[in-house]
Amino acid sequence: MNLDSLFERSIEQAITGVVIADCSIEDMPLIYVNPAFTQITGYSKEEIIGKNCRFLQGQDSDTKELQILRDAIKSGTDCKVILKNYTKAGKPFWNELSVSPVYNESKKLTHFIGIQNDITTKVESDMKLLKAKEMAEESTRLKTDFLNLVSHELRTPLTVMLGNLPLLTDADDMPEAKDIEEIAKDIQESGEHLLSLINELLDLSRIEQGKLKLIPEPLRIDDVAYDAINTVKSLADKKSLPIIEAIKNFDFIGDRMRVKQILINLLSNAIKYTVEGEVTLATYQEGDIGIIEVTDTGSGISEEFLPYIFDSFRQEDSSATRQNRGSGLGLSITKKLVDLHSGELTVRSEKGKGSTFSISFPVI
Amino acid sequence: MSDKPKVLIIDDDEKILRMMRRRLMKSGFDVVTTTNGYEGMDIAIEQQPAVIILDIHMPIINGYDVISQLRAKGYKGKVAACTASVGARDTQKTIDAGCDHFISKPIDLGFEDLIKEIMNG
Ligand SMILES: Cc1cc2nc3c(=O)[nH]c(=O)nc-3n(C[C@H](O)[C@H](O)[C@H](O)COP(=O)(O)O)c2cc1C
Ligand SMILES: Nc1ncnc2c1ncn2[C@@H]1O[C@H](COP(=O)(O)OP(=O)(O)O)[C@@H](O)[C@H]1O
Ligand SMILES: [Mg+2]
Repeated sequence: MNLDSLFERSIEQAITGVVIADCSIEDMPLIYVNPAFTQITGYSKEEIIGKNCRFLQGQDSDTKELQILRDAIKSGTDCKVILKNYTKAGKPFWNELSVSPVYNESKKLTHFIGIQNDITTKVESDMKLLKAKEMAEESTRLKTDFLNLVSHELRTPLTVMLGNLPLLTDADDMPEAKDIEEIAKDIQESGEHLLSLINELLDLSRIEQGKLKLIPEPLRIDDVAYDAINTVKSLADKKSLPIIEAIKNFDFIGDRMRVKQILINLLSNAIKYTVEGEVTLATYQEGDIGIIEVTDTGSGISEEFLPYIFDSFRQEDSSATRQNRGSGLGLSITKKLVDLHSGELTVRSEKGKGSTFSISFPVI
Repeated sequence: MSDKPKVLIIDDDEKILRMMRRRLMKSGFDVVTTTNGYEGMDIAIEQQPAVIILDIHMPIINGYDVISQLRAKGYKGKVAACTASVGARDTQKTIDAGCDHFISKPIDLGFEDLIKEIMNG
């Protein structure tokens, strides 16, 4: 066998596309394509020979890459580009294309040789990597934002506690008894706030890591409901807000402590954000769904804020002061606890009129 | 009129207002407080306090907007941002918005001296 036929044999065997275009004919038609090229593109030899190779392109080619290719062809130099191409069946693939010019003895450009590699797998895995990297960066950013928020929320009650201390430790100039009482109360409340913040943070982190395990048992909603009302009763009494009980029993499976926590969160919000009127706790069954509704006649929630209401640390900046402020974690935890129970928590509200938070649980 | 230097504190947290009021009054300041940034701007312009202590994260109007609007109205007095957001970026933002100083929460034992320094400096 002579060397030429060995070369030809090699090209026929290659898994890389090899094509030759004739520069002496207008529009540089292909005069040779190897089997790998027909394999990659899905076109037969007969369909391709005599055509310009651009038929592989769609409408969405990268114009920069294409320009590099045009410039190289025009100036008779070589280049390497990556183009989006389509197979005969219309399937997109990433074509890593090298073209190089062939000159004859009189330095006249006669042919271009094109080498094609289908690098779709590589491009796609690069894209996936990039996407994963972006997601990791996003999650780091979210974590940092969260830590900054936590830091801010912890520092605020600490400011009250540490800031007041020097007033109580100056033996020569003690505040009056009624001032001491007020200072002590502020410190006490700030400490309690700090503690509940820490507990809520722990809850949230346990839930997010999937570490919060429910202890499910058969429950009567009326039991849990009265239990929760008892806990928040003193809060409501302080504001002279009646809690209306519209409680009809349904039986379901749940974690007693967590269901109570859900109800307490919703009830204490309803009390906190209501000045006048009443708070209603209704429970009833509709088909095989148990429904719990906490309704208030309070400040309501603006349409703009509503989509964010279940986000951590989100609070609507409407009340003049943060006198009874919480952490903004309550609803975020509540929502997650309801989810863990395969329930659904939704909210309807009208600014200035009041809100209804409603939960549906599957009953037994 | 008292000859004590006047400090205006704008903070939406009433516990913090009470605490700072007591600390500064004890150090010989005349103290005015408000939880509302708009009211704070009016007080600033009417009463020209020696120093304003300005919280940043507040409902209704935040501290950045308070200081920018005050400066836009030509207010020249000294303003110290005082916030629990203590990152470098937060600090820079308050300075860019027009504050002269940055105090981080919790405040420390040197708080009163710092306010005096700001007042005199
Ligand atoms: C030898 C050779 C092989 C080529 N192979 C491909 C190819 O596989 N895929 C492709 O999209 N374009 C290929 N081209 C480029 C197109 O044929 C054409 O030159 C390009 O689209 C720019 O010209 P146009 O703007 O007239 O379309 C090849 C060009 C030459 C000369
Ligand atoms: N019943 C309600 N009426 C009006 N606004 C509410 C009610 N419940 C919650 N919100 C709004 O949603 C925010 C987030 O609630 P939550 O997560 O419980 O945090 P917070 O600790 O502030 O109560 C509250 O700060 C408040 O703006
Ligand atoms: Mg709450």
